[in-house]
Amino acid sequence: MKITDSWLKLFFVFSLITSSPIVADDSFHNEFNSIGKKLESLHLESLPIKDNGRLKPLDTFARETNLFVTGKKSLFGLSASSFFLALHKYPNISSLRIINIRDTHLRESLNLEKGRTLFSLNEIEKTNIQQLAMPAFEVEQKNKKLLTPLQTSQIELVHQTSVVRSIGSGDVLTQGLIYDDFPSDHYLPESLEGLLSLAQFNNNESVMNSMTKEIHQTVLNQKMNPEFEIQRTKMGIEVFYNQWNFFLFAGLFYLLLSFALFLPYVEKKLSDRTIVTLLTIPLLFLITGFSLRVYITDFPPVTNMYGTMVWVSFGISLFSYIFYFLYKDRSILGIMSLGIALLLLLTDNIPLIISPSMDPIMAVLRSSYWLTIHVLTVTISYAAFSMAMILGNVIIVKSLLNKVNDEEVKRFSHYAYRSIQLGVLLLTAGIILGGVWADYSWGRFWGWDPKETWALIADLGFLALLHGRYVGWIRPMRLLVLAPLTYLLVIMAWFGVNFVLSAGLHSYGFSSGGTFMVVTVIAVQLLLYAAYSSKLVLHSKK
Amino acid sequence: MAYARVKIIKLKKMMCLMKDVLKKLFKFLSSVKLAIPIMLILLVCSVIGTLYESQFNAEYAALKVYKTPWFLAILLLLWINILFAALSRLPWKKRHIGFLITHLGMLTLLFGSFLTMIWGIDGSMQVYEGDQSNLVFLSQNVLEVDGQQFPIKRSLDKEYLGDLSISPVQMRLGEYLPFVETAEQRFSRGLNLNFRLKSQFFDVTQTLNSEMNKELKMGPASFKLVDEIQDSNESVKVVKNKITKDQLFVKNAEGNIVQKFDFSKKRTFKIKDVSIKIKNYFKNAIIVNNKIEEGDEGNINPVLELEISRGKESLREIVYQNIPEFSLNPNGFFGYTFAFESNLSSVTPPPMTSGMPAGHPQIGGARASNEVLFKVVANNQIEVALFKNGSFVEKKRLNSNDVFQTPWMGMELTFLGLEEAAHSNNVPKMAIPKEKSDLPPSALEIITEDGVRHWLFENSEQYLLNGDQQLLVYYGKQRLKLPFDIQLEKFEKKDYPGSQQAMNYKSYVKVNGSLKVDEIYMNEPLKYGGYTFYQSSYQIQPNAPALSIFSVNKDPGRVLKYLGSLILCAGIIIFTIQHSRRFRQKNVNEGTPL
Repeated sequence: MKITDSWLKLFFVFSLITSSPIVADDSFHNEFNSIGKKLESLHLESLPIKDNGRLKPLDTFARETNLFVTGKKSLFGLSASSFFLALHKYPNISSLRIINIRDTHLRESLNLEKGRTLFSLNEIEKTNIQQLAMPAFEVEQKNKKLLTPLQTSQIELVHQTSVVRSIGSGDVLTQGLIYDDFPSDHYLPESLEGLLSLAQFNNNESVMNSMTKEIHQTVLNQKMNPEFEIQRTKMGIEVFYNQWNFFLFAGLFYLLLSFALFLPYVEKKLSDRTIVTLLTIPLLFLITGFSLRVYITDFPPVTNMYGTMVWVSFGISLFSYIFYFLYKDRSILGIMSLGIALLLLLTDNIPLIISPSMDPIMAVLRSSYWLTIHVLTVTISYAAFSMAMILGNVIIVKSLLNKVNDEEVKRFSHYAYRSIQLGVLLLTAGIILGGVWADYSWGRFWGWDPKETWALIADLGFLALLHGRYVGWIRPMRLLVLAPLTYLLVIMAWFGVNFVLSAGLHSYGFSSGGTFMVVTVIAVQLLLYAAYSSKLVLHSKK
Repeated sequence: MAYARVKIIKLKKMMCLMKDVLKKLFKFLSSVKLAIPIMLILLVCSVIGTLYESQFNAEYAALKVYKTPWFLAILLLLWINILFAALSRLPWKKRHIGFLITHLGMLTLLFGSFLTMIWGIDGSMQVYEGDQSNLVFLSQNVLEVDGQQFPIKRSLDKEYLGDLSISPVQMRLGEYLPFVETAEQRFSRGLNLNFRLKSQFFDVTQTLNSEMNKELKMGPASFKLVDEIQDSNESVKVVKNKITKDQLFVKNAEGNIVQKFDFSKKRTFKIKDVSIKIKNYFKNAIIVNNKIEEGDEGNINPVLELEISRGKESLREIVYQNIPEFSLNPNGFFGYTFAFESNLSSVTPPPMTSGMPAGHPQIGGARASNEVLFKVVANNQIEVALFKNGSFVEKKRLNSNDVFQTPWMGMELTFLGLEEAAHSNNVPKMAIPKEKSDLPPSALEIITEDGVRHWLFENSEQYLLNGDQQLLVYYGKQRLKLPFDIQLEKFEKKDYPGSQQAMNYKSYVKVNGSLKVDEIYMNEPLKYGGYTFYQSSYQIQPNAPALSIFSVNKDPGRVLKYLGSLILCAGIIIFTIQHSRRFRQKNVNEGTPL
């Protein structure tokens, strides 16, 4: 799997994460790295760890823990689990620069180097973070919503340091390996420790393999509660899902496809049948990824932001597939492929904001058929609106570059109109289904919850657009220009409510950093409008 | 004739004009050009509502936007617009099918929502494990007096609700404060002077108060807190009122004097339909054998005996000049109460050690001639003066804890100190809603028959004395009593293994003592008697029975809302298909699509 990982790295042109400087003093770094390399040969990725109400393979657990501490799934080119295990085994863990302080203001207030984002436990302990964070913890206890961004980062840093400490002490592992509340017959943590210590000094693979097998066997014989017993069988699948990042692959494929369609030389050589085949491949990737996610979690893939983003990408793929059948228009296909690619690459590269976690959901969101249906319907309507938005933005950019012609505007406008119509159909149905779900779960069809209200707002926005077109107020070019503007309502309904407003029943999607993302997207869109309207003004003056 | 013809022509013209206006109105109300601004206004209002929601909470947003009359008016206008838009397409054609079904669905859905809003019930019920309840708390506020409910609208502004009458009882409403916090109001009630009296036989600590309790009689002496000590033999300052005529005051229920009568010459008076007759006038009334009589001369205790009558009804009243509070009927006589002032010198009434005795007050008695007078001099210093048998003996300054010997039976007096006498009361104080927190409660002022003002905090109840009636008054969420009980047999919470996060929670209930146990859990409500019970929340605390919280719901608009939803969705699908290019090509071009 390592090969695929480094191969993928080549494609991270669009990644938001810029490369970070090498992070530890060389001596510590080398020592640590050599331990990590030795542990790399152990096959412990699928060892079940109890965390957050479910069993997850060590691979997932390590990815999540590493991400929380370091901001990345792994560092130094080690696999996630060997990086995690090496942290546990490395005696000088306090000197390793591994704790990621994401908030610049926090770094400033702690008098830490501004230009660096990774710090060692020793460096952080020298600051007075524990004392500084006291008021933040007090506020958190009273009312979480009143925390300032700085206080949130203070609390996060304190948690990060305590996680690092408990990785070092082994507490994290020990807790994760006790699968039930009663003590187990076999003392798993001890056998694991034994294996890890041995692996550092012994190169005898057969001994190591037999010990690893024994540990896995012990886990299999362990008595657990029924939920865990079912989950235990899925460890291998989850490791497979983690390492074959299907959504990322799909994104890369779409990127290549869009390049192929944009390059006239390549495009000419592609027959219709080839294009359909090429379109089917990433669609299958997405479907596989979904199926695995559903199989592992037992929930539909719509319980968090990551799920909805992937689902919207899938929606755009599906709709552009249908559009291609209806209109046989390759330029649309190229544009949409690029859009999907960007969305999927974005989704996969901001795990701190859009967490791919598959942890259990709130009780109220469980087991409801209507929940699944309404979220799927609402979010797939976002896919239809996204298409209109993409078309609109393409025309805006083209007209900025003076490369727009009337025929194209008419054609694009018709596509945008049909997408909006489809979106309104799906969104209206989705809102109503949401009402049915709310009625079924809470006894209330409509409660002005911000998430549902914003969905209605977006619906009203696009409905006004359609009616305006009917009356003749909105002509083809205007429809294309207004679509991205109205799409900002979708951005608010989709992300803004969780990241900006963060109130109400639907706040399960909240995570830090999202506000920045939403504001950036809105700002970029508005800048584009500013450019477009200044061009219009200049043009009319001439 | 000609005149009539002119009239008819005028009428015809008027009709034409009316028709014209109506036509224009109809055209306006049915136009898509009206629909778009309505949609945009709803959009903007909803955005503002969600901003309020995120800043404060859902309740605040509802009060500010979603449940305001103007927001409902916009929705109503939208409804009318959709209805007229559908009617304006008459006669309907085939190509209208999609449009009509869609808009019919919208109308049905909105109509269902209106029904829910007006007749729907949406409340919550809390039952402890092992307990039962039939009380549902609804979201609107009421004032409940003696079991009767009066709706109180939750508003965001300070209001005066005086015009809201609580008819069966003589209570009035005062102010309404939208957001309050409890403030402790401290009333200063003067200074307390503490002293200790000690003798062979007793050892007591006593308090005099400069406002409420200036005098105290104990054993052979009386103790007084005075403003000025006169070193004269006459210790009691006899306040001579300026000579007035003998006057009878008639007061109304609020205690204001409505009429004065001079009774030195006349003995009968009339005020409106009530006649007042003075039967007796005692200059020094004393009570003998429970009857009022004229006592010895020398003492002064003026008393009037009145007969008050209206029609055939006649009542008796005794009025003491010096004890105006006293009355045979504290509720008044046909709306009036009485007091009087005579030209006899009035003296300060003798000290009363305890409250009003039963029956007639004891008046008169020997004036204490052994007196100890206190006067506050400085922060913790007093002047004490001693009178024995009415004559001045001694005067001395005392600091706290100083001892003073009295000439009676070796009684020893210790000045313990001065302190401010305070009395506290919980009163509401205007509060500002805090961001991202629950709204502070509101408070309502109740004025009882006697004009006493009480504050009731939201969701609290208390007994209030209204005239001679004790009334239970409750202000807060409307409480609906269901005709059946919900008995919580067991509450069960299942966590995700190895965590505290709830996976599911379930209530086992019995309705109205039935033998069957029903389960209520997430997404699995219980329907009974037209109500639906949803498992909404719970509270589990150590060493206490679990509390299960249900949301209770009755929705007369449900069927219409579901029907409307179905029609609407079907309509949009038909519409989309009808207006697809392929479909239209087959069915010839008919108008422009939406």
